[in-house]
Amino acid sequence: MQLIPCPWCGDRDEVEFHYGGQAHLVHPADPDALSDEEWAGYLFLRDNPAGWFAERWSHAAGCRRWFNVLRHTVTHEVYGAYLPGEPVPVIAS
Amino acid sequence: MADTVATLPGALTRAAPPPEPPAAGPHGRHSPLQHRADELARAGRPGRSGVELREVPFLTQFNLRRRQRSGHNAAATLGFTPPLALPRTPGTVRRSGDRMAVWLGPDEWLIVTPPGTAAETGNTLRAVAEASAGPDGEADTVYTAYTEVSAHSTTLRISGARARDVLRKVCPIDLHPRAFGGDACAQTLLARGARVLLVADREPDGFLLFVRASFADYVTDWLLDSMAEYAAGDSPFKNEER
Amino acid sequence: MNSHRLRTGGRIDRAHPLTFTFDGTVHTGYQGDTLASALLANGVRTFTTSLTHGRPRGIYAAGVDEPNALVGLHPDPHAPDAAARPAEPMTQATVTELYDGLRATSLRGKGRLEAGRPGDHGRHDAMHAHCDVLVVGAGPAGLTAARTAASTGARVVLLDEQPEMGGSLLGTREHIADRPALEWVRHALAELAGRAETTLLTRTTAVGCYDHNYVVAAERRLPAAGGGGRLWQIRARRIVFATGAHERPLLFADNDRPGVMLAGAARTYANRYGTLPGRRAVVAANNDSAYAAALELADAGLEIARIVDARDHVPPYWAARCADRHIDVSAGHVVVGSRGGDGTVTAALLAAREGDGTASSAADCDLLLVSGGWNPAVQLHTQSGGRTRYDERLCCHVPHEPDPRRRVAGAARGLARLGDCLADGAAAGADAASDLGLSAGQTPQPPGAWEPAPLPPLWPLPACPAAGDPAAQYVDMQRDATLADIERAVGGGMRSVEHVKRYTTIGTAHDQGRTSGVTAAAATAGVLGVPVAELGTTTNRPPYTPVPFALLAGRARGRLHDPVRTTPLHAWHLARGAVFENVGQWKRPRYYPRPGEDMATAVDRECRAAREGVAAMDVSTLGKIDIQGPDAAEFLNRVYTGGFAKLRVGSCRYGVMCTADGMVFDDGVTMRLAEDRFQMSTTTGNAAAVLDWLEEWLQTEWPQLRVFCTSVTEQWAGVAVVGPRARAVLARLAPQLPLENGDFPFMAWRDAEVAGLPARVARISFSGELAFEVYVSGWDGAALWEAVLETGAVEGITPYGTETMHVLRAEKGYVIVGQDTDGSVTPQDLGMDWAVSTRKDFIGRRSHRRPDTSRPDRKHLVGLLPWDTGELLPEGSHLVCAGSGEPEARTPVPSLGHVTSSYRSAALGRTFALALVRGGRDRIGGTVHVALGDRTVAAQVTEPVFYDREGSRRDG
Repeated sequence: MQLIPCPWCGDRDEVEFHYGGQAHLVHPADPDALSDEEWAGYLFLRDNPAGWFAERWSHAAGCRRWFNVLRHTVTHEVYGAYLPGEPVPVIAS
Repeated sequence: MADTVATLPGALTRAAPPPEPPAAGPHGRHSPLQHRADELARAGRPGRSGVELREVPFLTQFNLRRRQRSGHNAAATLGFTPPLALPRTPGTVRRSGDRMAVWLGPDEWLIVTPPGTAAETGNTLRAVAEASAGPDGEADTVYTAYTEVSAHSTTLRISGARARDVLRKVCPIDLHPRAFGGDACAQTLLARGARVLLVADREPDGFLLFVRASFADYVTDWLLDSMAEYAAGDSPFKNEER
Repeated sequence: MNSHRLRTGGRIDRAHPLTFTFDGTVHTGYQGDTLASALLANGVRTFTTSLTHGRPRGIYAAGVDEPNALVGLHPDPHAPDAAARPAEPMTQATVTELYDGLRATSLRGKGRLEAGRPGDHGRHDAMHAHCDVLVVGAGPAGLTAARTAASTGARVVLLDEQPEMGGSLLGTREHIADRPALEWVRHALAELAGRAETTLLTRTTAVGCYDHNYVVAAERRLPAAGGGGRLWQIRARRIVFATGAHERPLLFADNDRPGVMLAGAARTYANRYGTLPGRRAVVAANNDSAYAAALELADAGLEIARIVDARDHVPPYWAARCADRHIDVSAGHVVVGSRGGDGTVTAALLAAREGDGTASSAADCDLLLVSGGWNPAVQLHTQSGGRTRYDERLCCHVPHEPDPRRRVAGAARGLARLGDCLADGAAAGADAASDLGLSAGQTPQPPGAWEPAPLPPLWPLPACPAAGDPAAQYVDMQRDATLADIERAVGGGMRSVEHVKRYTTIGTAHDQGRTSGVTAAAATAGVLGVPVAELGTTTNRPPYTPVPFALLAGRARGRLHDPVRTTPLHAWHLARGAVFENVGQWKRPRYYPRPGEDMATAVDRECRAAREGVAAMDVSTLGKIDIQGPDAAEFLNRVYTGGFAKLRVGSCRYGVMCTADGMVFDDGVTMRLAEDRFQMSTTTGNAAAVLDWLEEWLQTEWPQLRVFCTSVTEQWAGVAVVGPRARAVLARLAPQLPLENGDFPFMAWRDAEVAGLPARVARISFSGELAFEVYVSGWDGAALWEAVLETGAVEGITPYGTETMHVLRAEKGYVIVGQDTDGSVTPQDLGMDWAVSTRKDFIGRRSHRRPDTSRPDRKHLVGLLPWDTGELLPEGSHLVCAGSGEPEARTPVPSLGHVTSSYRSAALGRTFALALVRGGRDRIGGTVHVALGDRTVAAQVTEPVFYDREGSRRDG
């Protein structure tokens, strides 16, 4: 059971959260300006790294806020959480 | 069936109950756990090593939302007498007299006032909404919304030296006094997925559980089952074992 | 009786005898015994027969590493509390605490599941715990770790699988600070018990260590305490694994006979249980620990015939002590086989290590004690992502660069000497606390314990060419897997220990390779001719020890299993004998049978009432979301396919929501309460998902929109009053409310007093009939329902359930999201273009002109009328073409789609169905065939509206 760091409520068990997939994908402002292929890319294509990944999470059973988490998909290490609109944190090596 | 006495958290419980509003309609209103009042009364054990569970029905509850256009926190003080400040710190409650403001999110609070005070609380919230609405479109304009949710959830009070142990069986968050102090609140999942709002009661070792009405029986079943080992005699609740 | 019991000593209570039965024979043991120690004390040597080879086997170990002594426990059927006694289909005799009346049978061969065997009646539950420092294992290292951590004020949990704490010290006569070690244990425990923030758990095994220091531990409760157990779910900020080590077996021919036993186990039986497992022993060793065991056993009265040390040099300290006791030591020798008689060992066959393997002598014995060194118990460390490396000096796999959040201390990281373990634990406990910013003014100093520096073990032993038949050298006794199996695996081309494990099944039985895993890896390395370090070991996975399913289930059975949601009218439904249907987590009445009615009859009656008179339904379960803010209308315009900006206050509108890929996600009716306020309704099972969806877009895509969403589902209880006589019933309930079409048109809502209750009434119809939905506070729901039924009685009002609701809506072709759709269906596929705006953008709109969504041959929602009007098509049935002129017997026959809804209709006097059919709208008027097992049924394709196509009935 992972601990997900809600920026508001602190660390909570992952069952309290909903996973929102890759972060920093923006809904196109004018979908009509996109080709079918570009639109399909927005809908269906996601990064799938074995390593650090910026993801969206929602504290569904708590404060209902969406936020982003930088998490390692292999070790499940969590680097930290940040709010929507904020840039991806840089991991100090 | 035991008389359902509307009571409030903490100190107020020892005061005279507030006047009941007249029964609405010919058949009377029902709190979600009214039919289990006797069962709850039988299940507990008072005293130093005991635990007690009661419904605190018919509390007036409003969901309050306030946000600056800039997205900033817009906590305010509500013009009750005495005034009630909204907590800014996540996971905390503020109390004033017999009213309580519970942090639900960075722009969301639950305002809890005694039974029968929906009109007064609604007026107070309307006043704060109207007073704070600045010129539309400015970054510091505050948007306010509120809606009554009194019947959306009911309240259980669990108290006694074993209350924490009972909750530990069903609740994954840390309830140690160091982690969950006297002004703490948390929304979390209870048992196998019932969303609840847990609030530290004014009395030590006491907790208030705000449970959505539709989940109230399920949560009560779990609490009664978890209480069994700390209560005298047989638990009134019997789960189907097999 | 107790032929092998010592007169004194041990941690058993000789004043407290216990009677028990093993394989039908009555024996006596003492309080403090395990089943295994009591059987050994009674001289029981052959315990069982092995899995596939049918070889006799005895007790081999003294704890969770026992491979042979599996038993089933049964309650005495005549005991007055039989029902409360645990029935345990499989456990190890070495971890079964003896109790009076225990009845055990050995599990021979493959065993078998017995139908009707009583289940585990003990009470199993779960408990969450949080701590600063969790210490797993209360041996010397664990105790000092817990002491130092607790002295800083940290919240400490110390757990141990044994009934009492002390770990290895319980089975030895070691000294700490020049006093018997158990005196120190007692003091340390008293100190820990006095700390308010320390929790001590015995009989509790940490079985898994999961992400982010989440440890699951299984606590057993004794039968006298009701049996059962508790599953601890512990979230620890820091962990110290002080899990000790398991003694390694040795490989030689016939190393599995009863009487062959781990040296440390025999030491434990003597010291802890006052039991000698034999009379005369040969000790085969490759390391120092066996000397301490042999000497303590000798002191307890066991004749040590000989110590066989594979190493060329006997440690001088131990050599001197053996000489004192006239114990012969053969250095540079190994055991190459055993002789047996009557199934049990009678002699050890010895040979020079460097020789050709021919036995040079035989030493008579009835006990052959083996010690192949020690495997650190790194299971929890590796489960949680830790790695190990092979230490050439210690000859074992030790934790490699453990994460400081999960330290490993003592024998679990290869330390052999007691003093080292005590100091190591103390340091780990202090470091764990200091990581958290906790420190004590005075950290308790670890006590001293002297032992000679050990000589390195010699391991793995080189395979002797003639050390007996490889097929008789047992690597995994539980699986009856031998060195020959490993040779066969390697000969078959396998090079990885994981492959060898799966081919030979070594390490896959109840101990998950605790004794056999490392031995098997070393044997594989030997056969391959590579160093042990190069090959590594197999992966450890939870659970560390077997966990009963009853414990995992805990109390979450029956009513406590999954959340059940009920409406304020539930008691009434129950009292009226409603048959319920699960809708999401909700219990909804499906129908209300009258005496003698089956479902079809009851639904037929309820449908007629709604179509011909008046009927009422509990609609409280519909999700309700309060949506407020200056941009609320704009927001709804974006999330619904239809337009909401121009909806007038006092009106409502049906809306369809799509996901970004254009597929239908939810639908419902939304009321405009004010210019800046709406109340949305969602499908019953989808309320939480819809609220999440709205918040996702508001918070992550459109934070500039000034909108707040709040769930108010249970704030309102709702009753639908449906049918041509609905207006007459409402008129009696709400005399002040104008109800005529002009005053209160379809898709309008009004606030009014209904039955004396403050209410909101909406003219919404999910049946095609004149209908009102009345909403009141959840507190008033029961009152409203009873008033509706009382008042409507003169009109013959009939309560109806979800089945009738389904029939009524399907007759009108109204879809149910999630039944007639499955996440691959667009509004256009459903023929609902009318609900999709062409004048504004909304979520998913762009997807509706993707090539795939604009294909003409997509599956469309159509109606089906079976040719046989009595044929009820099963929902989910596949549809195939009528004889379409294609070559016959084309296999497989392509599916055209499937039946999504199917009912009997009272109004139509026949069955009918809705279906998703490829190019369905072009097939209207045609025929499809429904595949039903070995027959097919023909059905006509129709428009998906069967009843009142003109919509003339909704206004009454």
